[in-house]
Amino acid sequence: MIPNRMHRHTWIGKRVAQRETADRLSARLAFGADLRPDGALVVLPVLGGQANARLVGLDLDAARSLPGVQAVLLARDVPGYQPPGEAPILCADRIGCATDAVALVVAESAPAAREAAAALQPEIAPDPEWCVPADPLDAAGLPSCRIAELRFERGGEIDRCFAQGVQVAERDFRLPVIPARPDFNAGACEPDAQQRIVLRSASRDPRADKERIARLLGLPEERVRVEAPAGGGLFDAADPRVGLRLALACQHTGRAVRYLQPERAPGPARSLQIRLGLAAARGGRLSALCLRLILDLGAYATREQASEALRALVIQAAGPYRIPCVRIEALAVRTTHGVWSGPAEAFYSLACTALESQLDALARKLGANPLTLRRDNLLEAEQESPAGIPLAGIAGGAELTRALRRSKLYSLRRQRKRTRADLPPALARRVRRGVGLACHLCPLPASGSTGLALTLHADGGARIELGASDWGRAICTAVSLLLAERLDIDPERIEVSAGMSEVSGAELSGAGGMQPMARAVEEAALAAERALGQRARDLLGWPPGAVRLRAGELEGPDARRAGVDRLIGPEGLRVQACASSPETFCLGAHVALVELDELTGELAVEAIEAHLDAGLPVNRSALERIGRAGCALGASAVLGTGPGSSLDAPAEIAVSPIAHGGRPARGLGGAPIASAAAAVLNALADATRARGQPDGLQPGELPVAQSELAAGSGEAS
Amino acid sequence: MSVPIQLVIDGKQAAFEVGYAERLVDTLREKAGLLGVKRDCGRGECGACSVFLDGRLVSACLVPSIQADGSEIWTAEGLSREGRLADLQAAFSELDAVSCGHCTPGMLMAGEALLRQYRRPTTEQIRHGLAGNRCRCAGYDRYVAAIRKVARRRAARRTAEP
Repeated sequence: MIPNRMHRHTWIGKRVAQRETADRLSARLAFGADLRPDGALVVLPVLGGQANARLVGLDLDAARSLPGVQAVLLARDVPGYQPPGEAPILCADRIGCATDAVALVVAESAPAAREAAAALQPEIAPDPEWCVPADPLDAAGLPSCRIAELRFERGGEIDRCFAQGVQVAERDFRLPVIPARPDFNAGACEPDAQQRIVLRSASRDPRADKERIARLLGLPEERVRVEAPAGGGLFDAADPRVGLRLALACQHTGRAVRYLQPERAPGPARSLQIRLGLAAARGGRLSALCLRLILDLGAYATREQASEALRALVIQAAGPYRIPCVRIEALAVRTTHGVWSGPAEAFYSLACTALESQLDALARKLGANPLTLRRDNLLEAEQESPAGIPLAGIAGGAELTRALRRSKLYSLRRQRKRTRADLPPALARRVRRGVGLACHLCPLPASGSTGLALTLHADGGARIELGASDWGRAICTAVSLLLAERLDIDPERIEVSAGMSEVSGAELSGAGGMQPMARAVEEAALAAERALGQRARDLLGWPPGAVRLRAGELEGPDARRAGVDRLIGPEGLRVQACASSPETFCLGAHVALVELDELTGELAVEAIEAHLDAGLPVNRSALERIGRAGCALGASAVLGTGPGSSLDAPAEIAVSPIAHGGRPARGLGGAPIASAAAAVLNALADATRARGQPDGLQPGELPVAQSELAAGSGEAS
Repeated sequence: MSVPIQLVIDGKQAAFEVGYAERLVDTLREKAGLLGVKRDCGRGECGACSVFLDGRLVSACLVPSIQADGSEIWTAEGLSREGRLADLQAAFSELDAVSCGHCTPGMLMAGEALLRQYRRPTTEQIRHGLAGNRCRCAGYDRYVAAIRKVARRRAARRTAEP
């Protein structure tokens, strides 16, 4: 499926199974909820259950007197500092979100904890002084609920630009408030022999969690250690308060504790609203974009988080096209929804859908082929996006267009094969086929920095400890390939552990992606070579000069060589490296083939192709896996909610990296998902185009309501 | 109040004291120590706790432990024998049908149930058979491919057998 262009590499570009695959398959891999320290107490949060409310009372005596109950902790038991506005580890009085906790029960067993939680009977009263709306549109009208704004205008008067060209009217796109996914995150925490609190819980950024725990518990940072085990779910919400609560209970009781998720529906998730209009000159050059966006950030978000989230969405909604006249108004608002109530892929999907759906509508007005319209307007590398961002390190539009021209699915559109050849004519007439295309531009944030520790062993093997956590161990596998390539050793001889907030006292930053990771590997290899070069000069009398480590041998000046066993003792050689990377972007596209049953209105996504620019694809297996997941998640964003099911998933998925042109290794971010849903919706419009309905069915809401599909299929027939 | 129950789990006899409202998933995880049976939604939506109960695929979070008294239970941990992966696990590995691995035990049990129900399941039958198992990493197409592959291999083996 992916052409092998990696001739000059030994390990990079290979198809390698991720680490721990055997443990995953034999059900032996322990996730946070599977950790059972000896004699661990159980920690169960008691939720407030309603927003805009005040905690009036709790029956503490009743709960504490029950057998097996060790403690009932309240906000006043948090010894350290919690800044105002940060999501509270426990609510003191005001409750901003229904899933906020008002108390923590610490008990000997799960039944005892549940009994105590029931006995607490929290008395919650509505708080008339604190009326944050649930609806983001209502929140947008309240200055107190506006967290961040992003306004951008260039290229002159937008109304004039719209009046002069061929335009598609502004349309609304909506991600309504849908049920949030339950948070499966759990974990365990225990004191160790050095009087430290050691937390093991899925974490997006172990280093940041460590800082937060130390601040909240009033401890010096060296008294806290975070080790993130494997996390469940590619896009798990991972509320960091889980770890904070565990650490609080551990500090309070001095014993090992483990987390029990409360059995409660997670409440509604955050939503997004977009209004987008486009205009083009008669020749097909895009001339104007008008974008309005309201992002619901839930009950707690800092201005910094809000600005970052807005910027990422605006970049995606404004797309990878040259548009001279732009007006963008984006607003992030506070509501009563859960902060970590995902689903992130739905946000990416809607941002991309708004633009790409309007582009197809514009192509129809212009009488242009959708691919031609995109080809004529796609940005090239180093050009500025409509959101005013110079695009560094991306594949250009020409490369993407070349990839799309080779698309097997898109050729079906050109051939106008709109009915199924494999069905009898009577049935085939009832199944309408459509092909849709959508491009995306996704930012990979510049905040991704990472640290790692590299230990070289005398036998030529190596060990890497990563600061970043890694859900599926994809980065662990990729790092072993990068180091194996750099040092010319077998990746099997490289041990990798991830999710450490520190390694032997040395701080490692976390949350890094592939790009800083690749840089950190190179920095660590260079540091190891410098250290070995010095040892070679000291021990073997080598002259000064450049050295290089390859296949367990140090190559030095005058063709000198020495095995590392002569330079490294049994303790090994240990170096550390830290690297960050500038913001970069993923450009790509999806092509989808859908079938709509005219009788039932049932929509099936038959096939999706993903064309993704991953830079240097380090592990082709991981790239394909993530790309396939993106296609399935995009389809399920259209067909249903959440990660969907096997019935939503496309029957055929193909993932192709765009020719990399020597770009460095980097991750994919949200790119595998971003335009998949948009391509499906454009395919739906293509399938339902009919006389009297030239634009076809163009739903503006994700997921698409079955009633809308049924009505649309009827009109098409 | 607790009640004694007897189970045969992955071929081994076990006895437990269980509460009236206790679910099988909790007995298996907390008392039998089978942490490969995942507990996610707790309401039969995700399939992460799928096990065989007397040969039938069930969501262990929906089964009262008392109801399982005297039953034979097979979990994903019982699929591999003496450290060797079963054919379905091997196919998952070959086709890279493993992402984070959280849904994998339930998905394997659902796959095995399908293979017992149909000798040569069609893609549609597999997709419907897996509909009760949610994968957050959305690797469904690989699960379907892996199950089809095992079905073909088992069919070939049956044909080759005298």
